[in-house]
Amino acid sequence: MELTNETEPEPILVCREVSGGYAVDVPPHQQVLKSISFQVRAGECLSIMGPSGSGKSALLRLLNRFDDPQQGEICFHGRPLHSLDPLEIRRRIALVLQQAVMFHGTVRENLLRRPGGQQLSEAALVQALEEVGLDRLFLDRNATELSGGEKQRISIARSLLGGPEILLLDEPTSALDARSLHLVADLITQLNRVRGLTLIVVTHQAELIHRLGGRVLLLEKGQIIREVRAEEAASLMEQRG
Amino acid sequence: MKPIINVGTFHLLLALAMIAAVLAISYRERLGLERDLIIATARTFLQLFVVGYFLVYLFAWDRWELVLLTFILMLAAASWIAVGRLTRPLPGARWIAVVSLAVGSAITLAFVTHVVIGVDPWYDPRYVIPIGGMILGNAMTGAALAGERFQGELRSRVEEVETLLALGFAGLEAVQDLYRSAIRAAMIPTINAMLAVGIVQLPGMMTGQILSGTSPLVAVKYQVVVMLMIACAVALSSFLFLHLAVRRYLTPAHQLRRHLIV
Repeated sequence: MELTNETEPEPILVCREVSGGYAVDVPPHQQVLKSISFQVRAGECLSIMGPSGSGKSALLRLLNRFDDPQQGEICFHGRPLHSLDPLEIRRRIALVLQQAVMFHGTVRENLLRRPGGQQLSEAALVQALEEVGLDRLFLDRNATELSGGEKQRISIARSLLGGPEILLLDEPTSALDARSLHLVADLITQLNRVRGLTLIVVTHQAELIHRLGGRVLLLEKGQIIREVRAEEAASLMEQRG
Repeated sequence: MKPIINVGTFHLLLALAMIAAVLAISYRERLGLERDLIIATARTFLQLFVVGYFLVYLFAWDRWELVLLTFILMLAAASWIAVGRLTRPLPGARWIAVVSLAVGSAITLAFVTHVVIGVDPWYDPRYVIPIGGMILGNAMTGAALAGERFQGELRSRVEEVETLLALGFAGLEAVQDLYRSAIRAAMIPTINAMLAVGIVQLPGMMTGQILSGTSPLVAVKYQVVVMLMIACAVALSSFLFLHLAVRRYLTPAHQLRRHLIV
């Protein structure tokens, strides 16, 4: 589709020359990421792809201020992240971790566990479940007994309840079987296309990138080596085997 | 009342026969404990006699400055040992231990000696040193247990804590459950000891008082005070220790310092 309107939307998130980051397998003062720059526009879907240890998760963790970069700057709506309230950032830029941790209790109790005493109506819970393609009957299920795919979807629903502008997803489908992968991939795509949510997705799965579409950053040894379209990335990965 | 029977030097050495029995078992069953056992026996003799002579002089001098100095040394040792029990080093933990043990023990000790027993003069080493030692020793174990448990919980539940942080919970809210479970872990041995006290064996202090001629009813009253003061000292010190230590694992921006955990 050709853009008829000349003015592109302002970038919602900008990374400028960012270095640092933290990874479990790298000594704390060694830099995981080296001079990373990119920007994301509202409503966009950006994937970050690369081999394990390339710094994908470390990068994602800088974007919701789980860690601070050693150098460079990250801006959200034009304002540096470190000048904003970190708790406010995490509500507006929601990170869904690789492992979907469920707290003890029912799905309802999991969804109701909100920061800052945020109150939620039953209707809001049902709507959150519907957004991730789950029936309202799930509210009374024991959360720790759900399947991997169901847990992942509850985990996304929980993040959506904070009303985020950007959703960060760390390997959302890596622990899932093929069927659940398709379900979760479709759900994430829906959130972007229908709800207009800005997405930044870290993955090493060509299948997921193919379904998501959009731009892809290829990360290697903490640096962005290329930026490609999703269709191109999927075929690149197949060539590499 | 009959005077207490003093154990003579010769008879004390006879007590070594009991260790000879242990050595014999170790040798026969090839337990390989002989060396450790001999060192442990020698240290038991040495350490206790050094303390014994020290107390004789401390009681004879009867000066508050010396009592205070003794406490400071005991506090330094207790803090050192408590921090040494953490599996992962925590920057600043030594000072956290000093502050929490000092405050927790001082409050308990002052209340017991001043309000409950009414020791006169207030620093009387015959009361203050043994009671203070018991308080400090238990506070040390409590703080170490709390710190160790918190660290362990944080290691095994790091994903849960990060999930809460990612949802926008403040750092202290995200570790609240772990914090509670660590204080509970520190308190449980004390509560269990209170439940069992006197049923199977008599506590050391009470046994000592009875052997040295005190009426069992007086000894019981002292033992009750001891149990209650230990509970108080453990709770105060482990609470203070964790209160200060937990903040070390978090940044002001509600970030988890993962290099201190993983």
